[in-house]
Amino acid sequence: MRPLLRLFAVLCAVGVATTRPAIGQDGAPAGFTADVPADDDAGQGIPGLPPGPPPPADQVDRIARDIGLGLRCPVCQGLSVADSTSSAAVMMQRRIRELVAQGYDRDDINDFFASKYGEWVLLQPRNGGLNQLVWIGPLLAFGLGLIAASSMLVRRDDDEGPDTVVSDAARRGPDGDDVEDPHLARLLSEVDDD
Amino acid sequence: MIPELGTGLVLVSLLFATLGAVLGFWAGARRHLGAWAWARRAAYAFAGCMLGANLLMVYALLSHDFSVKYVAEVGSLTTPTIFTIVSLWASLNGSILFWGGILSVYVVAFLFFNGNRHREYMPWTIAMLLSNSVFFALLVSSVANPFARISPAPMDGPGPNPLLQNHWLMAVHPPTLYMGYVGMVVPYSMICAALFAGRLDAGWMVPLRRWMMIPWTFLSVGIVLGGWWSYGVLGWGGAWAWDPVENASFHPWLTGTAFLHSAMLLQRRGDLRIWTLILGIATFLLTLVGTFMTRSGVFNSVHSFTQSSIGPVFLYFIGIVLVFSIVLLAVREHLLVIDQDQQARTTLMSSMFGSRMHPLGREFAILLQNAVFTTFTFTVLLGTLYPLIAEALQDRKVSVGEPYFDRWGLPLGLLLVFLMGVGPALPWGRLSPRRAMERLLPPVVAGFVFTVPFLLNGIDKPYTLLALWLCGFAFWANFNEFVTPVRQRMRSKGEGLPTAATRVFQRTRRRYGGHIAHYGVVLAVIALAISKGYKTEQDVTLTPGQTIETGRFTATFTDASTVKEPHRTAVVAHFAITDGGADAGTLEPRLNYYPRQREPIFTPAVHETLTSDFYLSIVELEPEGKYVVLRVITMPGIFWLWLAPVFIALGSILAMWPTRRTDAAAAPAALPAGSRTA
Repeated sequence: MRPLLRLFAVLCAVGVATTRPAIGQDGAPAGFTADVPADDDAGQGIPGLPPGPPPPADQVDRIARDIGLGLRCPVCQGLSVADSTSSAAVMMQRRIRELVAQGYDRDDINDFFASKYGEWVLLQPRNGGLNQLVWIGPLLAFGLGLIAASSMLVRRDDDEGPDTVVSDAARRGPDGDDVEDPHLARLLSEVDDD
Repeated sequence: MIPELGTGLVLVSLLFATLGAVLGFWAGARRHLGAWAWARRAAYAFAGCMLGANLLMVYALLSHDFSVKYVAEVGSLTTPTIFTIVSLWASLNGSILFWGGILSVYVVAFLFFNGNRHREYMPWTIAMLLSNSVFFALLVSSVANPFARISPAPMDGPGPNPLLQNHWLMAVHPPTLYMGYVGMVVPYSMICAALFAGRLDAGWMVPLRRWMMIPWTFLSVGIVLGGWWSYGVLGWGGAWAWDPVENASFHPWLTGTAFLHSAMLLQRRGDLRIWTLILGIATFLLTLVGTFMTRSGVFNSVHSFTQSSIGPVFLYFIGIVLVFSIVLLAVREHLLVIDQDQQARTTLMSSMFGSRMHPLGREFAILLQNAVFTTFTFTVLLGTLYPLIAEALQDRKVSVGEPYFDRWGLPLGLLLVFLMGVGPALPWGRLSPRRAMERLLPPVVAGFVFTVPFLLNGIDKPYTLLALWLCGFAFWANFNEFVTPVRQRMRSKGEGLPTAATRVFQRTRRRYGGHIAHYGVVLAVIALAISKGYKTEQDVTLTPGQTIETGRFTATFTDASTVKEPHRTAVVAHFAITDGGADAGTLEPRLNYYPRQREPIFTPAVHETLTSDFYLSIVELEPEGKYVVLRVITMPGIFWLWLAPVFIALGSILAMWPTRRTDAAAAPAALPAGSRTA
């Protein structure tokens, strides 16, 4: 049973790890310099060329919305740019859409807004430095939980033995009728107590 | 007159709370019946005065007595009566008074139901309850005194926070949530009482679990109602934004749910003893942390309208409760149970978790569930507090928001749904792998069957399908526990389906209560999975006569009009709606202008159907109605989320309604700590 449990733990950890986005890819993306002036207005674009060709036109909205969900609306209370209906958020979302249509990717756009508004604008902290705490902490907690739980399992040497013994009273089922199937007997006996 | 009377009532209640707490501790330590009788009277007197103060405040609000500071802050002659009453919890000082009022209700209810039983524990419990009451009475009478007199009294006030006047749910969501928050003090006090008394027998576990279930149910319902309010008022077409204060209400819900399950193991075989007590204590502490988050103003949130300087006071109180609880646990825990095989259980791990268990048994499923719930709590707490940590340590401003919490919440939540099916499918004790497979196979198949209709309707995203499969799995695993004995009865006794179902249900009502609560969770997960995966939204600009079509819905902008109401002015946009080609009436999203606030509140309008909601939210509206910029949202399946609390509440009521048998079990009998129940 132990190996099974370990496998389960590893699978869970992998599951959590793979659902994380490609964050923490350090280093400036191609064609992008970080020193965008703070007073850069919405009319100006990101300096440098987009890293790749623009996505298909029917994908632009979806990608832009996805990126907008990860950016904080600066004038709202915790809502993302994509969700908020405030005019500032609507403007920002339009800007994201333009940038996506030009071929900039998520990292470029995140960096662009982070340089304008500060790291605060990213709803998902970048991995690195102290921020690793929020990524490693939960994995650690989960690992500890699994270890604690599995340490309570019966040891292998007393792992042998029959299934839960069903008492004669329980075997007779709810109204004293005889139940042959031990599963059912167990279920009925459980159903009978509290 | 009212300011003095109110302050007087609060001070008298403070006096009675202090007196009752001292008498309670005395009665507990010395087993003094006379002191206990007087402690009870003091508790009733405290509750009476505190409730009286609440009623007085409502009277002051209704009679617009602006010489009372709180009324001058939140009252207004033009506010409709319903929102005037609601103003009791519309701002900080009133909400703390209201908190005291709910605490009184709990004290009275607890004394009424348990006052003549559990002699060993009751004085300690009342002492702890009243000690907490002392804190709140102190708050109300000092830093948060709503009864302070204003002189000269203003002629009118600004009215309550516009967001609170904007929806009827504001009359329901906060009190429900408060009932959940405040009520957690009862199980906490009961745990402390067990530690003081040095025993924790089955007769005390039954009411302990029940008194956790009551506030837990209110908390569950309150959280969903809050989501509903957010959906209906905030205009972004969502129920949950992982706002710090939303998270604050989620933490105690998570630990409380873990407690309700681990307490079953404690009741059944004496396992998870310290662990369960820690969960109970953590739940109470997290309600305090949540209150601190809401009230201190350290978080920028929809809820920070009530922020003030009482933050530090709360922080001290949290510190005191934390230290007190740890010391109490450390000093008294070893006395709790007279344990035959104490020798065999000397490691910390074993006294924490209990005896060994088989991996293919319900015990272990509950243990894993507890591990996941704890991880979930830790993750949400860490994410919520991390911006504070980063600012304190590195003076950096960072955000942790929806993408982060979704990332973690999705796998952890799905794992919990999985365990919600595995647990009920496995019996207590142990099962051979082959038999376990036999038990788990039907739910696995049921999961696949369940996803088919969704697949046929175009649901194809892997995570949504996985969630739906898990929902079908968990539903059938729970439902099967009911179906199997019913079928057995029908076969062996020749009963008809209604008779057999009724009989089985009557016999095991409390157990099926748990399963019905699980159905509520399944419903919520289905609604969230579909609505999150298949929400659509687009922004459009419409001039009168123009139509927007999305999915099976269309909306045609007709015009805009200005509506004058006593407490606000609204600019309303009118849309004619069709649903699947048929006329579906009109939707009227609007901008509500309140005198207290220059910026209007953008209020959405929703056409709700069982399968999908059609949600219109104004981004910009030309006042004459020449054009409107509209966010058009479709939210499939969200309707079912609002039904989830109905099942959860129904299940809880079924599970905690006393039976004759549990009353008999309340007779003191030491918990068989080491022994296993087959």
